[in-house]
Amino acid sequence: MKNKPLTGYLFILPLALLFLVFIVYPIVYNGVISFYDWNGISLTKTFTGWSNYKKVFADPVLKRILLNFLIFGVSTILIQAFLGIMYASFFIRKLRFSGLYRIFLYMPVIITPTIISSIFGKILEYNQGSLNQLLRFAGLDFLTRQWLADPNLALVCLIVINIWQWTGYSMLIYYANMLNIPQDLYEAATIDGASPFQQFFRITLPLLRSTHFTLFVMGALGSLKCFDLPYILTRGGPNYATEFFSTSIYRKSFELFDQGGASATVMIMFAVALLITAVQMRLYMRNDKEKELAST
Amino acid sequence: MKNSLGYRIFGQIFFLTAVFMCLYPIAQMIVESLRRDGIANYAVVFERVNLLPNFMTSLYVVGGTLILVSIVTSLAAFSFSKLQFPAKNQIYYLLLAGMMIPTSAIIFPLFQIVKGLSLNNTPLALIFPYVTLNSIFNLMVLRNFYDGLPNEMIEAAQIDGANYSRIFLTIMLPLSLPGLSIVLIQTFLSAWNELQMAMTFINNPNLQPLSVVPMRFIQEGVSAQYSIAVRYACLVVCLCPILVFYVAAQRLLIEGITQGAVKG
Repeated sequence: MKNKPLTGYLFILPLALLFLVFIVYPIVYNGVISFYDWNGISLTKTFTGWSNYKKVFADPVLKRILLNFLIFGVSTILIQAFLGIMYASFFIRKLRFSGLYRIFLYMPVIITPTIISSIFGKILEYNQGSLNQLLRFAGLDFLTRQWLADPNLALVCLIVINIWQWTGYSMLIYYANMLNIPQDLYEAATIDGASPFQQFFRITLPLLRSTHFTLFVMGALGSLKCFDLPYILTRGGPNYATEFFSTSIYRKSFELFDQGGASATVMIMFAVALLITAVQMRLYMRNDKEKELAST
Repeated sequence: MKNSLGYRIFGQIFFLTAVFMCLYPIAQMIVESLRRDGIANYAVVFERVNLLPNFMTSLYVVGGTLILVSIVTSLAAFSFSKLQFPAKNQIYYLLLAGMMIPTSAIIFPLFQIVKGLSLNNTPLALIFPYVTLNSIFNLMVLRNFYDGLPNEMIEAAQIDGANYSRIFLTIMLPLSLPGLSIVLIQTFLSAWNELQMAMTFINNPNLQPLSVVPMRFIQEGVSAQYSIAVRYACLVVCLCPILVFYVAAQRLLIEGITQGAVKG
């Protein structure tokens, strides 16, 4: 089956054009603007070399952003993986009503983040919020907190909400990949006298290696992109306790009119994203190679 | 392998707790929305708040995005899967790498384009960025699906003298519908729920998509005229379309993912 190369290119042309206009151009644009002092509106910009980068790197907020990204990413990825595997292990043993549970537990994934944030904002509110009301009702008044206004707790709250929303996704991906593990492995292990725990740690977990990896990459990118929750619930506060790249860039562009600083921050975030993607691409290519090997 | 009684009981308690945690925030929202005036709160939402224009914007944006994503992603997936051309894999991985791009990294330049073309406050401002991001995100899903379609049919059609556009339109596209449906469901969800570009490119509150509407009720000053119960009712109304969609599409969506539409 031979085709002229031109045919192949023509079929990908629409996507390639969109990619160039809506992804490549904006990145290049930010790369250029990051060397200028510009408020994003006026017609004149001043070339200032690396000074935007120097300013961003000198700002302690950047350290806070990177730290928040790490804490948010690592804890959501690990806890979602733990819960996801736990749910999936029940499904794989065909617990009754599994299908129904899957539908309910996946539901938060599809709910609009602004709605989720609004509800949780109300739940975590100090006076009327149901979390504090529950604590007071149980006589645990000393545990009531200004959940989202406390610099030590705000990030934890966002992490919990994020886990609430996304665990269903990890659950489904783990379940899908557990279904691919051949059952005779477990039968053979049972005959050899391996306990269910041994089977889980020696067969299930290692064979899900590429699933852990995929979810790790997606979780890392998701944490890097994190915008809706902090923007709505805390605006990055209190005192930058929930500041992320996205909220910081958005504020610089559209509220502080420091487009040079915003673009420099974009390029730093882009570098982090590139790093994660390098890891991801190695995974894809290895998978493809395995597929080729399997088909020969 | 039979599960022991203890396992089954523990499992049911575990999942009932998990489902309760999942549903609690939504249940609370519904209960709060009925406080004091009961169902009359919803009458206020429909008469005074009037979310119909917002709903229409969401519909136009998502509809336009779905049509264009089907075309763009199908063409590209077919080409990457069934056609040969130089640098194919390099281009494919470059496009996939676009998945890493956060909205905040592209939003300001896109805002300049939108303003420059006077597209702000129109659905078009959102459709094209959404099409790009979703096409890239779903390219791998659809390409994997095309990879599973037999090449023999193409060869047979070629012997009969069909060209590639004919083969694509009359053979491959109809066969790809199961894969395309997953792509469209995922695109619907992501386009319907997007916030950052929606609130920036459409800043007229009466035209903003439904995903932005809840923001109005967080800024106290704007919504002080409505009681808390009415604001909750608004949230419930905003949630309804996506829930209806989920109920209709959950089987396809969950089965699609379980059968490996997203590779792990």
